[in-house]
Amino acid sequence: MVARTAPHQAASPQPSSAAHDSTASPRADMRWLWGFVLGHQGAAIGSIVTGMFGGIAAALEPYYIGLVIDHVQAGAETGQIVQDIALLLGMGAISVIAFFGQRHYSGIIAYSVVFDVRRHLFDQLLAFDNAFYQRFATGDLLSRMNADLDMIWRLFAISFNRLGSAVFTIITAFILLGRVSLPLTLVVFVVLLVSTSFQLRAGKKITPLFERVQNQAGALSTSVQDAISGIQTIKTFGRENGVAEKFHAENREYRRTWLFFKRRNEPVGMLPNMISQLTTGVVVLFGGILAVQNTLTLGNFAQFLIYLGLLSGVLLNLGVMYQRLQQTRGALARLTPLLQNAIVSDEPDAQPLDNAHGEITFEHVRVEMDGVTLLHDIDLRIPAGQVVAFVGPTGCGKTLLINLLARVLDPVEGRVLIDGHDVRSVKLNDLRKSIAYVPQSTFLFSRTLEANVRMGKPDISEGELARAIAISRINNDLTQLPHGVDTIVGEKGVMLSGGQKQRVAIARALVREPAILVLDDALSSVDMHTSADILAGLRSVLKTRTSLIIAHRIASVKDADLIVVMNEGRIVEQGTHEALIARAGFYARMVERELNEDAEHVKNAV
Amino acid sequence: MSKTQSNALPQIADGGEKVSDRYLVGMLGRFLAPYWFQLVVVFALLLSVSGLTLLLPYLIQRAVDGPITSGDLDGLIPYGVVYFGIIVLIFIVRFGHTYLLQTVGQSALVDLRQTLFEHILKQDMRFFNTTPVGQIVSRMSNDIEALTELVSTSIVVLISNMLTLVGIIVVMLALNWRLGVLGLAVMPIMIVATVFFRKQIRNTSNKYHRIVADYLAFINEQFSGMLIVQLFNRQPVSRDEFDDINHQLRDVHTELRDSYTHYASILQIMTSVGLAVVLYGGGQGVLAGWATLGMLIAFIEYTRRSFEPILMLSEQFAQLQTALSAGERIARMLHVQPEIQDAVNPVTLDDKPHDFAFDQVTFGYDADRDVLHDVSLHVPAGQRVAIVGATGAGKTSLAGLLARFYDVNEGRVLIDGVDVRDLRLHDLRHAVTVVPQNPYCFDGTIADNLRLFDPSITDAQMIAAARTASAAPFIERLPGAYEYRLLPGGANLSQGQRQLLALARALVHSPNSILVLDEATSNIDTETEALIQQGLAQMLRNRTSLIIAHRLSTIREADRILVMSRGKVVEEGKHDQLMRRDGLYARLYQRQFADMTVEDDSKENNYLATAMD
Repeated sequence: MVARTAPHQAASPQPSSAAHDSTASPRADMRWLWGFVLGHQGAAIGSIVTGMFGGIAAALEPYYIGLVIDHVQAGAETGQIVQDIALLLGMGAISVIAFFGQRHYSGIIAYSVVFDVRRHLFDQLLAFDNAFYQRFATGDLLSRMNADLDMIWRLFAISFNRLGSAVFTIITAFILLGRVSLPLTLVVFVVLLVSTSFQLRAGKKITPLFERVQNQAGALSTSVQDAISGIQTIKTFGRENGVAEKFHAENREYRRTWLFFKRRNEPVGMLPNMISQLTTGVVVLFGGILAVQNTLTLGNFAQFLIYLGLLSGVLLNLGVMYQRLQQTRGALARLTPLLQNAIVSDEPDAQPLDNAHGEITFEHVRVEMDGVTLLHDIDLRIPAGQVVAFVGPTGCGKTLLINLLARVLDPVEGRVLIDGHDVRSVKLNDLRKSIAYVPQSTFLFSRTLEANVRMGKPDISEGELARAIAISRINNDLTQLPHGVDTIVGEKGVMLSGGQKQRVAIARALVREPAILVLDDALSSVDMHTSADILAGLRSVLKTRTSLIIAHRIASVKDADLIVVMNEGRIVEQGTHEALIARAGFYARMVERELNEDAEHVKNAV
Repeated sequence: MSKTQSNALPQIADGGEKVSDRYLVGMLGRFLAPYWFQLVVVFALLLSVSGLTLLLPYLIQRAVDGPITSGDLDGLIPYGVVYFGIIVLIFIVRFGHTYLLQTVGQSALVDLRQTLFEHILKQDMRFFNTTPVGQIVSRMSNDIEALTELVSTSIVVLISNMLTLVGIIVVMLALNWRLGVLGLAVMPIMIVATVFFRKQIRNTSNKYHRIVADYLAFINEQFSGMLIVQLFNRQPVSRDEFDDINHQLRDVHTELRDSYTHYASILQIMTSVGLAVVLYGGGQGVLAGWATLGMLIAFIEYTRRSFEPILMLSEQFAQLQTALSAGERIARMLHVQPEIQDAVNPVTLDDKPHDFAFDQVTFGYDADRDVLHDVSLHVPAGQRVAIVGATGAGKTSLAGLLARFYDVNEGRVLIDGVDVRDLRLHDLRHAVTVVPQNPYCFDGTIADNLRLFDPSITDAQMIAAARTASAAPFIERLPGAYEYRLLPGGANLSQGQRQLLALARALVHSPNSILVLDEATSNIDTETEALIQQGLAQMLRNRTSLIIAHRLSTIREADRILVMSRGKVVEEGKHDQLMRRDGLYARLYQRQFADMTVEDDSKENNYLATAMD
């Protein structure tokens, strides 16, 4: 297993098939989301209560407007009109206060829920196993943790703001209208009901379309990231045009899915507005007739018109809410994989692991990823304090096997034991504290070099820091860096050479003073002399520790206490260099190949 | 490698002066221009929607003051029918302009996205060394999305509401100027509030975008370094840092919403007050006889409708702000020009093995620190040259200059006697192929990676190249062979296999090029290495090549060895000559050899590129 370095197709990956726990896998759906809303009940109730007041007050305003018109028509006293208008303004004041409250509470819910969801997902991401990160490209994860999460607050910001008042406005409006003219009210009610049910049915078809748009957007970012990561290769071969053409195809496909979605989404959104406007037409016609027949006052006529305007606005909002609901469903479907992967976490009865000695046992370990068995029935015992080398062709499972120790991945079958404790039965924190890792591809964070080293163990003294820097031989390079140990490294900082990065990674591992040190081809970019110095320094520091060294060249590890030879996911041989040579098997053949290759050069050189 | 020095550089893509709003509008205009006809139609449709909408209250006024007041039922029917007809028409027109504008907007944005992408591809390596990948991805996705929102929705809302607002004001004043003045009484206050809050919302919105950018950068780094985070028990720290930025996100979000809430509340109050004024004044007017009841009802409608555009416009503030700052970032990126420009009067090269030369070349990534000093060398066609020297001696810089990823500060780099700056970049890169130590694998299959998106390469050519480069044996063992799909970063290939793939790739694309090879140091198992040696032997036959050498075999088999130290070529010649000379090379070689005999009877250790500094 090689650490991932670059992006990959955004196609929705399958949930991990490996090491799944037996609990039903959670889905990110509306019910799941509702659980987060319940955490903010106060604000939810606040938004509904203010919504109630706001909705009723808003619905009463047209009533007073109608009253004014009737009084004017009847030629009433100015005092009467002023009183009506004062009541109207009172209603206005209540709606403004309610409006304020609704927005306030809905804001709290929207941003708190998305805050909680974001935190929850990030916690999951922190605990996912390595297999997850091999499947998902960074660009794709970013799009899920950004654009898809945004849909959640967009939905709640509008629905908790408008839903409460919308419901009460509709109820109040219909009660008041019903008192004025029952037949007309019934007409309005039926028309609106039909349009709403139509909209609901149409809306269901929108969700998968929106998901497709988001997926294509993810594919676009993945394409960009891929091209930029490989830019030097593209330039080397002058393939800018080819890349641009490939991108063009994706780009056009995005436009196609987007327009396809919009052309179905827009009419659904426009529909309620259109229906309520048409209803206004009905009211003008039939209300006019009723007014002509004097069964409806002009004030009532005006009320109907205003109410329809009000209802039309309310229904438009409901339409938007509904669209957002459908889009949020699409977005949630894209969040589901972030809930369903295998998580590496403490067992409920996890035991502390103090002062580990570093005795390691693998028992019948089998590892599977995406249905393919990568390690078969591994049995291995390593006494504490030994230096053990793992050799074998690339892809034989050396890194994968070592990764099981720190539980970056759990095996499907079998056990991994440290000092006789199953690694799954000890506290993850203690387990990882006892292991220091220098991985194959070095990743440094965009902070100072010192901060990167201290990442190994934050509370080390200046002396310990200096020692780690000295042993890993970074001190030679410090003068070349603009600010010494305070130079920012990583993506945003100074670019270090491969060898420099590896040495920082060694210092980072060293300060942990671990029981087990793992060097996964950790000196590949460090020149031979320096690496010899580093190894000598390490040996003196880690005399009593267990060291696991993955190596590609056999000669560099032949002095190891134990050499484990792997091939195609199995341990094929193990023993000391001499024993393995004597056996004349796989290892001996590897050594022979290496020797043949080098012997000639040396012969010539002498 | 000499990259060490390369980057105290400023962030080219995000620095620079602020781009003016006018430049932005110009940029959008440029991309919308091809669709001017459709846009004129959209505008006409918007105009007619506004006009039709304004007709509605007027019709009601006429109906109330005419047939309804006079009790003429037959007279009422035409009004009702026309009213109905107008509503249907409005929807047809509205659907039409939405459809048209969305199509136009998407087409324009596809063009913009494509232009931006191609513009980025054209940038030089200095740009890519100083611009994080995440930043580019964010320009290409989030920022363009924000513009999509602007072009497909916000513009319609803006224009149609402006038109409606102006229309209402005109109609109100024309119908009854006294009622009109009453209806517009609160408008100035609304405008003042709008100006005030627009500024506040703009500032908060900018802050919001900065925090979102921080958030994206943070999670990007976390995801990339998750293995380290987990192995070093950094989850609590990551969680704390995440919480901090998550809090900031929530707070700035709330702040933005609060500004808008305050503003919208003021608008709401003004709406109520405005209606009250019309009702009171209008009521007096009806009683005094300068207004009719129908007029009053119509004016209530007009007044209500006049507030709507302002509310709608205000709702677009944040959206507009988002789009503007996104547009600004895009404009700024489009503004960056590569320092490496294509030759104005290009010279063409013959398609044959090339020779190359460095003529007194001085070069540094930073102005104040040279990586190469006055380097001169000539490599005749077909010669194989090995460069040895310690890390930081400037070996990789030679490759970068030859392929013109960077330009020299002084001196010239020549291919077949032509300055590389006088060649078309495309031709130059056809003539020079750099195979890095850790080649990149693109998202796709083995075949995609060999073809590099060039469909004109046939299967036969591809397979022949893979055979010659000795990549075929491992490829053909993979399930699906050439259709085998690579994991991100080529994680399901070993580094050695990736190198073999890169050699085959070089062979397919540039059969006659100068090959610049950064030899892999380790990471490669013995078997793959044997294959690489075999592939290389095939490839290097009759080729001009420059090899940054780590292995004895490469060094010894080279026609010439260049020894570099601190940015200079200090020695050159064949192995035997250099040994006789008893200089730096000989010292290095002896030291290396001494290591081998003392500590290593298996005669491993083929690194010469060692302790020079």
